[in-house]
Order: sequence, then C-alpha cells, then structure tokens
Amino acid sequence: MVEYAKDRRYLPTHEWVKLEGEEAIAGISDYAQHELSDVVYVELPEVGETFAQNEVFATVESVKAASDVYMPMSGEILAINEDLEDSPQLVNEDPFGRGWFIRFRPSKPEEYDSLLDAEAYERHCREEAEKGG
Amino acid sequence: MLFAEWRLIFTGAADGYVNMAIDEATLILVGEGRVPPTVRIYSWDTPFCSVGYLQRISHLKSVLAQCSVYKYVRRLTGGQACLHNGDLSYSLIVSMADTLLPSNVLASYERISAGVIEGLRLLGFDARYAPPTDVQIDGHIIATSAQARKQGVLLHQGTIALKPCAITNLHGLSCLNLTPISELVGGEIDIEEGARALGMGFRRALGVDLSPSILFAKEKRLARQLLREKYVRPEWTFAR
Repeated sequence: MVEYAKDRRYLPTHEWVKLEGEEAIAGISDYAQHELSDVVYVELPEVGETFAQNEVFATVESVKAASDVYMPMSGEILAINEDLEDSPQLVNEDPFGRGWFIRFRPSKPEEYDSLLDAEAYERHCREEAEKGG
Repeated sequence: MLFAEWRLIFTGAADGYVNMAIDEATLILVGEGRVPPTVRIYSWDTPFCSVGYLQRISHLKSVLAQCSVYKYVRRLTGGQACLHNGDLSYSLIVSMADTLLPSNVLASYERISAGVIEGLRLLGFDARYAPPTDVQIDGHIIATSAQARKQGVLLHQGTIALKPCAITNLHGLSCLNLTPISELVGGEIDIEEGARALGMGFRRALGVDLSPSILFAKEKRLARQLLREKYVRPEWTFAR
C-alpha cells in the first residue's frame, strides 16, 4: 500500500518537501521508492550548496538505475542525511521519515504553493501507474 | 513534439568514449523532443571497461589510467564495471512520458530484456530473463544491462558478451563477469548478424515500429562536444 503523506507537498518527479518553520526537509516519495525498488546508494550534495527549484541535487541508485533527484524548492543546503551513506535502505523502509535526503533553507517560499498536494500527487501517480507498471 | 515512430540505428564499432558520448547526446535531444525514441545497436573497436555512474574508482586512478589492455570510461547508467571486448551492445533511449514502457524499473528491465531474448532466439539460442538486469543461457549470464533516468528520459544500456575477455585482473575493481556466448556454443557469432537479430528482437518484443535511421547532424555535433569536454577526460572517468 503506497502512502501519500498529507503534511507535505510534491513534485511530479516524486520528490517531497515538508516545511518546518523557515527550514524545509526533502526526500523521495513512497511511490518513488516502490518504483525504484531496492536503493543501494544515494549521492547527496554538500552543505552550503544552493539549488534552484527543479535542479538536480542528488542521485539515487537502485537496482542498477541511477536516477536524478530534483530540488522541490530553491534553497541552500543546511544538512544532509548522513545515515544514508551506510544505510541507503532507509529510503525504502521509511521514505517520509528516516529516509530524508536534505534539510534546506528555502529562498523562494512562494514556490511551495506551486507544488502538488497529497491528493493531486496521488492522482498523478495513479495516472502514471495506469500508463503501464 | 511527439514522435509516432521509434528509430533504429546501427552505429558499428567505436571506442567507449564515443559510444558513451553518443548515448548522452541522444538522451539530451530525446529530452528536448528533437529526436525520436531511439534504439541504437553498436560494438566496441577496442577493449574497454565501462564503470557505473556512481561507482567509486578514483582511488585506483594511478593503476587503471596506465592499464595497457583496457581503457576506462564512466557511463551515465548505474551498476558495476563491465568489460567490453568484442561484445554487442545496445542503448534504448526514450522519454519517460512515453506510454510504451512501464515506468517501474523492474518492469521496464523485463520488457527490454524480452527484446534481447527474442534477438538471441532468432540466432538460435534459448535465452531466459534473469531478473532484474540479466539474460542467461543454460544458467550462464551472457548479457547484462543498466539504467539511468535523467531529464525525464530513460537511458537503458545493455551488452551481450560474444567473445571471451582477454583479462581478468582489474586491480581490485568490482566488475561483472559475463560468460561469452562463444564459450557456450563453441563458435563465433558475426557482429553484424547479431545486430540485425537484436534489432528484429526489439521490434517484435516491444511491439513498436522501429524505422531504420542514422544519427542526426545535431546529434553528432553534440556527441563530439561531449566526447571532447567530458568522456575522454580523466576528470569525468575518475570523478568518484
């Protein structure tokens, strides 16, 4: 059963972002980790780097697919989830929790409004799945 | 732009730098909608070892860069290093919005591998899918594949071992060990015959109209630029 957490928003490319005061955390969705299957490696950015919305900020490698991960909102990286280096499977086990990728400071908070809410994102995933999963 | 037809291209033998540069050029142009979805079939004119996009080899740079038998090139796709010496390779490059292939990684591997299996069947071999990424004959892995998903585009690279590799010592580098078909059947497969069968195999298994085509001029220009600025450079090969 795929989970669509309602306390955050999504890119159509399956990244989530959750606001926490003036900071935000981001990762990939439960749907994405199901699609990718076992994650074996995550390459994360460095603290202090800045990215624009929709810019590639990480790469996740699953069963031999190296996939780009896109920044859900523009901002500066404040912290990365170092646990993923030794335990990339956290992305599969707990994509909305311990499998988070980055904590960042959004530079354009208004971008949040342009993202999909859980309901719209779930619709998007269902359409994608109907395409042929 | 939506393309109703896919393209089938045979680019013959080239070195690993050129082959990887062509794949990225096609990926970029497919992403921009400027070339159709593409199946490219090719071979290698010199022994190469391709390493996975995220594979760490920088600590071996001094020994690998001086290896006189194999040259090294970094792929865009994931997975382990793979030796290419007289093998037949293919790339399938298609927008992830295309409805023909499943978006699920494992399902897409299976669908594309069916093309390889059908091509091998046309050559007289009874091959089977070995999930998630391989194809086997009589329990021996003879073909493998890897994927990248970038810029909304799926790049699936695969290779079929036709002849034995000359070397096994890779200075501790983790490398896939494919069994060449020639070892199993005791004869050699002609590369061109294999390429034709593989093209037919994809046509049948994917159920798509593959129009024989060539690389476009803009694709060649971009590939030359990527070759010069990226793939021949140790900064790319040994970046990780």
